[in-house]
Amino acid sequence: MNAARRFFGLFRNSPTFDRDRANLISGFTVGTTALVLNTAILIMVLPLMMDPNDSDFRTLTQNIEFGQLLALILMGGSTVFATMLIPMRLGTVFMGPRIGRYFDQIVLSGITPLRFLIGKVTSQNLFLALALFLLLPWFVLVLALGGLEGPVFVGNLILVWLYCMMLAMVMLWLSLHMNEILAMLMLMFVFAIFCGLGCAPFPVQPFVVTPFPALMHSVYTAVGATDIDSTQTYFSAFASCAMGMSVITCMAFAGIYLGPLYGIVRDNSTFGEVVKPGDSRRKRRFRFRLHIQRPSEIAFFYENRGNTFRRHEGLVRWGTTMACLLLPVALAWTLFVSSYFRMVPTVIGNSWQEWWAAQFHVFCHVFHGFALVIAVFLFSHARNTTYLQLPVLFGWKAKVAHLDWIGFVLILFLSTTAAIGVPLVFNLVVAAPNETTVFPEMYVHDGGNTVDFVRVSIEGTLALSVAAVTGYLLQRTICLYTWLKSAAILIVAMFYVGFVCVIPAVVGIFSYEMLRYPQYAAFRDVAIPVAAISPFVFLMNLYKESPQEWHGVSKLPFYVVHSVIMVACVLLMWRRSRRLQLDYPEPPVKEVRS
Amino acid sequence: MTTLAVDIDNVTKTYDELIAVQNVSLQVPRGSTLGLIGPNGAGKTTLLRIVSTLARPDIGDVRIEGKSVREDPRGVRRHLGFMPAEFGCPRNVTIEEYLDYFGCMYGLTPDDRRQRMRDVCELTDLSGREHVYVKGLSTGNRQRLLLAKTLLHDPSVLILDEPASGLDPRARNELRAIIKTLASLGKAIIISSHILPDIEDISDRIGILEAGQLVLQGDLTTLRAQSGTARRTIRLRVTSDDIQRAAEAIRSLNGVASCDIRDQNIVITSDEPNSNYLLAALLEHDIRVLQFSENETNLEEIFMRSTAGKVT
Repeated sequence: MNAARRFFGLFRNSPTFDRDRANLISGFTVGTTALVLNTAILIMVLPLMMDPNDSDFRTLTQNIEFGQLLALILMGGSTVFATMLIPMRLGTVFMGPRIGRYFDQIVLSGITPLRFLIGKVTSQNLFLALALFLLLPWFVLVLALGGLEGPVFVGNLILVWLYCMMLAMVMLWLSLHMNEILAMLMLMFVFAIFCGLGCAPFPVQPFVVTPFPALMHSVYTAVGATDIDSTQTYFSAFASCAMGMSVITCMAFAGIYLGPLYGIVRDNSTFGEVVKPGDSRRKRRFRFRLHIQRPSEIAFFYENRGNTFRRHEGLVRWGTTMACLLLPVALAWTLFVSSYFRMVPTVIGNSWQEWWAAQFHVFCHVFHGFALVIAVFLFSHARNTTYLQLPVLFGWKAKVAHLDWIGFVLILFLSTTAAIGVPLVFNLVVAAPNETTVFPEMYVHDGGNTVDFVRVSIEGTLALSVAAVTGYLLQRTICLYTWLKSAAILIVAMFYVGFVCVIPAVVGIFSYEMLRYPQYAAFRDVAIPVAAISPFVFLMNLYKESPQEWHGVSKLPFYVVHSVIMVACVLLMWRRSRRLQLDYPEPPVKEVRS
Repeated sequence: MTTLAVDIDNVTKTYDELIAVQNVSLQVPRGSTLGLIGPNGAGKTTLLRIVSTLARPDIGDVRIEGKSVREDPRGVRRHLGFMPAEFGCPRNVTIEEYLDYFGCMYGLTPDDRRQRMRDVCELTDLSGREHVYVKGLSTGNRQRLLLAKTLLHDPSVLILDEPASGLDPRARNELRAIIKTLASLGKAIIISSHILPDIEDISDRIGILEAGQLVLQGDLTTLRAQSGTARRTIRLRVTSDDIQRAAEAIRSLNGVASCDIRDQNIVITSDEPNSNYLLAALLEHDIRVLQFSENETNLEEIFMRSTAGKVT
């Protein structure tokens, strides 16, 4: 009873509940919603109606009751409607109330960001209720047509509700990190794609972040689609969608709780307004930068966080980040090792044993590479927060830059250890006792070369680590020049993947083609070392997947170029940081009252 | 246990190279009102923003009910009601919705919200107008609504920034009455205003700020003494036959700074707080007093004399 009361209290005590209720019950809102919603439904029905003799449509109507089909369209239409409307409705959360000293008043009420934002999310329930209310005539039609399965209908309804909550939560999370209009457009675009992909008949549907996989399940089952897993029941489709959306909602919830780093007010600042000479002038320029025009407002909200949290802010933030990275990576490693463990009996004495071993190392390198790429993104921050000092433990402070270094180095160490150690331990504990190995003595390729899997494991892992450190240094350097971390990672990806990975490899491929012509022999002498810069070529050589002529190429260009980039980055970072750190002066000495 | 509700301790705040507030120390006990006056740009609003946790002091600290604005701003906010000079609010809401919105913000339960809304509407004379839209309210009623919102969570300290600006004399009078009532209920009030008679009327203590510095502080008598305006002017009218005799008698008294005859009146400036000794002296000399009037220096004179019009 108390739980139910608390649940309904979320609505009733939401600061925006009454306003939203009042706004919803207006002719304009009801009329516009009805118009958009019914248009969305009609757009979904229209392609079916355009060509009633279409064979797919006929198969569909022969296998599914029209009432059931219409119910699915209603749910699909509501989902599409929510994808477009909920981000738009929440696009003015922070822009809306910026009137006079309104934000001062909100802050002084002591409300926490989570409570304020949860009010915005829960108020979307009213909007969903309005949408469902407007669909009542359609539902009556569905019931009249018959064929509707009650539990499936209720399940779909729950999924649509979960989807609305998830969209609202993600929209608010994104709004904390970027301009609302950008966030709105990005969210609509991404989830429109997810909705489309969720409809596709994949054998195992990975896009379970929309209700569509569950909505489409009954359709695919009824028409006997061969692409999908026929053993999957509606319940499992429902559960995977519910799980997927809940995970995203929880992540967004945690993101809102933690808040953006620039929500932390610097000691000598007035909520990020004026901190040093010339800021007033700079602030005028900021108006044109959509992504940073709002930090002071967010800072207001995050001033109301609890003292315990604020005293351990660094630990909570970096700990959560570390957990968010390590848990899925550890899970992936565990699943991978356990699946290989199960495969051992079938491998013994089999002809594809070497291939099985090679795949083992490929997987190790893929996990290692992914973990490091994510770590590069997670443990870097844009220029406006890099040198911010945060309380880490019991008020002890550390700079964001230092915490990032610690986080990345820790992940680098753990991932490198895992990528080298797992094959060794697996071989020792699982493979060897079963008279097999993941380090076969010889792996015969077309050219008759041997693959040294011990070298593959150790050297390949270390090469990936070197590439990751280079990428991280690049990312940290670019971050010192940009206001958005995502912009920095795009620049780094373009530079590193383009100029270090792809272009040298392409040059190598051209040179390989030209090897056939003796007159281009000189070009080959230059092109092959250039190709050796690329980590792709490095790994291909280790696995002996590259042309035979490349196998003996020195690995020196790879290490030299990466070392040069690293040194250049360190110098640039040192130079830039000296200037940027002026933005983060020490807090004024607090006078203690005698 | 201290009876101080607000303790501003040596606060300094700078913006760029501009010193907005410098070494300001003020105390406000419970149940009393502190008036803050000063020319435009004197640092009043900055000081109020520091007290209300909306800006951080560079140096010094402010304690509200014993809690530091530096160390526990969230704890301070629970005791604080801040009425800003500007009325910022979405205008398409009714008074009830506006108050309910802030009631939710303050974390009041629905029952508490209803009760408090009734109470504050009654106190600010907004009862019966709960369904009126904010956009339809007069300036006076908007100020009432802001005050009602400020009182919603029953704060023990009220910070009022220019509460009477734009109000007509009647509305100002009513606002003064409300503030006096609130002070009598034990609330500590800091009020900033340019309307000096209002400040003079409702404040127990007054602080005069100029160029970020506290020029004078204390009750009105102290301010008069500090500003050199404690001397009072007394105007006496006696019969024309007695006028010279009366002037001589008064000049011989201690505490009389000057005594002149102007337009058949005797104009005396005195340092004594009580003027009865003058009357006693005249009665002793059997001089008939036709008229007696005494003027004290008002706040405006003190303000004009103690400030030089400097701004930060």
